[in-house]
Order: sequence, then structure tokens, then C-alpha cells
Amino acid sequence: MHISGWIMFIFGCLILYGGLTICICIAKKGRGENGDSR
Amino acid sequence: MAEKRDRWHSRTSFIMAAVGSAVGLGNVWRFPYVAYESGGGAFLIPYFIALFTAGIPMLILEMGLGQRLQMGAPGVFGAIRKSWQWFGWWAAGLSACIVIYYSTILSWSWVYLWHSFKLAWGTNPEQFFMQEVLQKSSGPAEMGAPIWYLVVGSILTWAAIYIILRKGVRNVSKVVMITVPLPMVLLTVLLIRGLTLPGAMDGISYYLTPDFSKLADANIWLRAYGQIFFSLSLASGVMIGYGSYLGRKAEVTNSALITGLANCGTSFFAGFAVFSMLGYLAQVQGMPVPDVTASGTGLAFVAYPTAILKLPALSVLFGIIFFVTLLMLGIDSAFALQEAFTTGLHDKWKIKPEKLALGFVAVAMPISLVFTTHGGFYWFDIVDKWICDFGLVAAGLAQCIAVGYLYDIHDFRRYLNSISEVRLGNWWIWALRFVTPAVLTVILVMNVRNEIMATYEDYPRWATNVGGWGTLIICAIVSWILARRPGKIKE
Repeated sequence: MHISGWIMFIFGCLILYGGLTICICIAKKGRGENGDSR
Repeated sequence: MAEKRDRWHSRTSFIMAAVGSAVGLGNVWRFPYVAYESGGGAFLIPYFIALFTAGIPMLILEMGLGQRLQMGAPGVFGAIRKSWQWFGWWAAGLSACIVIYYSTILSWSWVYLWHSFKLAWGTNPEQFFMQEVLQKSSGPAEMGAPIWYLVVGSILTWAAIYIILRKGVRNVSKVVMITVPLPMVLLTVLLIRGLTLPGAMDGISYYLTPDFSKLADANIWLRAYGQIFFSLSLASGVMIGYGSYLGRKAEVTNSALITGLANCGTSFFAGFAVFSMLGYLAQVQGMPVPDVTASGTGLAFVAYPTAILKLPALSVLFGIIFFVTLLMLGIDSAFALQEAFTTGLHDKWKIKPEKLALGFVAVAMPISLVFTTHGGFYWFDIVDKWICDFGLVAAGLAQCIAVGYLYDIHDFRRYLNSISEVRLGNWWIWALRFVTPAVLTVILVMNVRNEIMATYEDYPRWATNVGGWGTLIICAIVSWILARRPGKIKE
């Protein structure tokens, strides 16, 4: 595959899976499981 | 004493259910093909822009409305304007219509799962699908009788939906812990199998190599917004309904972000599983990848089974894995669609989940048998096209206008920020008031124009009038009747 394809692969992974990881980390640090404030 | 509203077992189960609703067959059989056709990896640019300027804002809107008002779509829109309760029923009614024909796709998947044990599609899978499975007639006028094994598949699907929904979202909370992760695991297995085959990288190269010149074509951007819109189960009352079972202090914004990113992440991932296999198929058949590439039913029931048949080993196992994946992907989308409608019935008339599940299945299943007839595929195609291209797009547009201009959206943003882990800026309001309505308007106008200029797939006009416009009109009438009937819509 051309290098441009690899670049788009990394771009897609960063946005999607990087973003997902950040959001999940925020969720784990944030509110309680049932929506109660910590 | 007011009846306590059903609740999700946990925030995780809510997010799983929302992801399960959004992630469906389209993530596998549509996104990879659309990306490939629309500039490959370059398509990710408009796709992500659409995700963050329309998809996620609307997810936040819908989940937030349901959570704040603790009602499904009819109640929510009735609360915005009393006369708009009808519109909430219309959106939820579209979901009810969708699940009726969506069950037929699952019925095909059940049949193919059965056929996987002997790889029955053989060396001419297209003929097998059209002639042996669908027993397709020559046109929509020739309906014929329901085909018995498709009826069996339909019964299995409706039985599963009934069993899952009869105890409400508490049961859904448990079921989604299987139906959401399992297809991800199975897709991973298919991906690993695909990547280890000769020709796989050639296929993936077609999927991902960018053609940035396509970004100059406005249609590609519209396609991206359309793909995001349909992929996230928006405007159908599903996310409003699911949000309504969240606690009164439950987080919304970050949950919506996770749902949107998980859905699109699954699509992106599925593309590798699909195109690695298509690359292999192209190599084995000595053809270029574009010649074997397909989408929709052509991918799921023709191209992919062809590739499976030609695997060097364990073809039966991978066939079973593929069709179980399709079933798992589809079932949680299906029961989410039904729940969107029955939540409205529960809110208004306090009917218990068991009765709702039974009543809905009792009415919907006989109707769905239409799509199991010899002419059923044509009607499925027409109804699906009209509901998606006109019904849902119009519903999405009206939803943005209702919340963006008739509701106090600034107060709503403050409310969401008070309960959420991620703060929403004014960009969210601009997205809902301007970006999303503008895009949906253009899509709707283009769809209407295209339909006026040439009938869809050269179907006879009477068929598209009856199956297409007719379905939307019946949905509108039923919605109006349900809105006018007395009941207690407020909690």
C-alpha cells in the first residue's frame, strides 16, 4: 500500500480510537456508574 | 403513586445499547464501499467533519432530550409544542416501519447461517441468492406467497425481539453485553483471517489509498453527512427513547461522544475485514479488486460468501462466523427500533413492557411477511429507500428546527453542561441550528429532485407511490391518530 494509505490509516486510528480512549478515560474519572455526582 | 420509570442497569449498559443500536449491518456492508467509492482514505476527512458537526451534536441532542424530559420521542416533542406530539409519533413510527422490513434482512441471515454448514451457495452465489433464497419474481406486481424458510427466519427474529424486550430495558441491559461485543470479536477473527490471505493488502489499498481530488466534489461531502446520519440511528426516536431511561443526573455528552466514536470506529474496522477478503477474492479469481467489490446485499450474500467458499481451509467455520456476525449486528439495531416506538406507547398509556412487546410483534410480524414473498425484495427496496431518503431526512430536519428554534437551546446547553463530563460550547448550537439543517435540506431537495427526474431503479410509478409515498402517508396518519388519542404523556 502506498504511504498515503498508511498515513490515512494512522489518521483514522488517531481520531477514532484515540478519541474513544480519551472519552472512556474521562468517563472513568468522571461521574459514578449510575450518573450520581462523585 | 407514580410508577417508577425503568432504568438502565448501568451507564455502561446504556452506552452498549446505544452503540448496539447504531452499529448494524450498514457498518459492514455500506461504509467500506462508500469510502472506497468516495476517495478511499480521503473520505475520512468529510466523514469525521460530518461526525463532529452533525452526528455527535444530534446524538447529544437526542440523548439529552430523552434524559431531561424522561420520555420517548412523542412525549419530548409534545413537551416542546403540544401540537408537535404528532411529529414525535412520526419519528418513532418510522422506526416501527423500519424494524418491520429490517426483520427480513435478519431472516435472510438466518437462512444463510443454515446454508453455511454446507456452503450451499456454491459457485454461483448470485443465482443462489436471487433464485433459490429469495425466489425473486420479475417485478413488484408479482408478489406470490411467503417463502416458508424466510417465514421461519422471520419468526426466529420476532421471537428474539419479543424475548429481549418483554422485560424492558433491564433485560436489554443484559442482552447488549453479548450482542455488542460478540460481533466485534467475530469481526476481529474475520479480519485476522482476511489479513493472512494473499491479495489482502491489495484490497485494503483500494479501501484506504486516498484520492484527495474527490474532496472537490460536493456530492462526496453530502455522502459523508448522509452516511453519518443513517449510521448513528438519528432522527428515529431511538436515542431519545434510550436516553429517557437514564437517571435524572446521568451524564449525556461524553456518552454520546463514546457512542459516535465507537460506531464510526466499528465501520472503519469493518472496512479492513471486508476489503482484505475482497482483495483475496480478486486475486483468486484473477480480477481487479473493483470488479469484485460490492455493497449491501450484494456484499453480504454474494461477494463475501464467494470469498468464504474459496478460503484455503475452514470455510464452513468462517461462513458461520460471518452470518452470526450479521445476526448479532442486526438484532440489537432491530430491538432498538421497536423500543423507540413502544416507549412512546408506554409513556402515553402506561402499558407494561410485556404487553407492548407482545402486541407490537403480533401486529408487525404478519405485516413483515409481505417481505418474505417472491416479490418481497422489491417492496423492501422501495420502502427502505423512501423511509431513509425522505422520511428520516425530513424527521432529522424537523428535529433540528424544533430544538434549535422552538426550544430554549441555550438553557438546554446549560443543563447538559451541568450534568456532563465534557462541556459543550456554542459550536453545538451552531451545528444544530445551521450546519445540520443546511446539509439535511440539501440532501432532501436532491433526493426529491432525483425521484422526480427518474423513478428509483426503474420501478413502476405505481409501486413507488404505494410502497414509498404510501408508507410515509400511512405513518403520518397513524402518528396523527396516536397524538390525538387521550392519554397521559407526561411522567
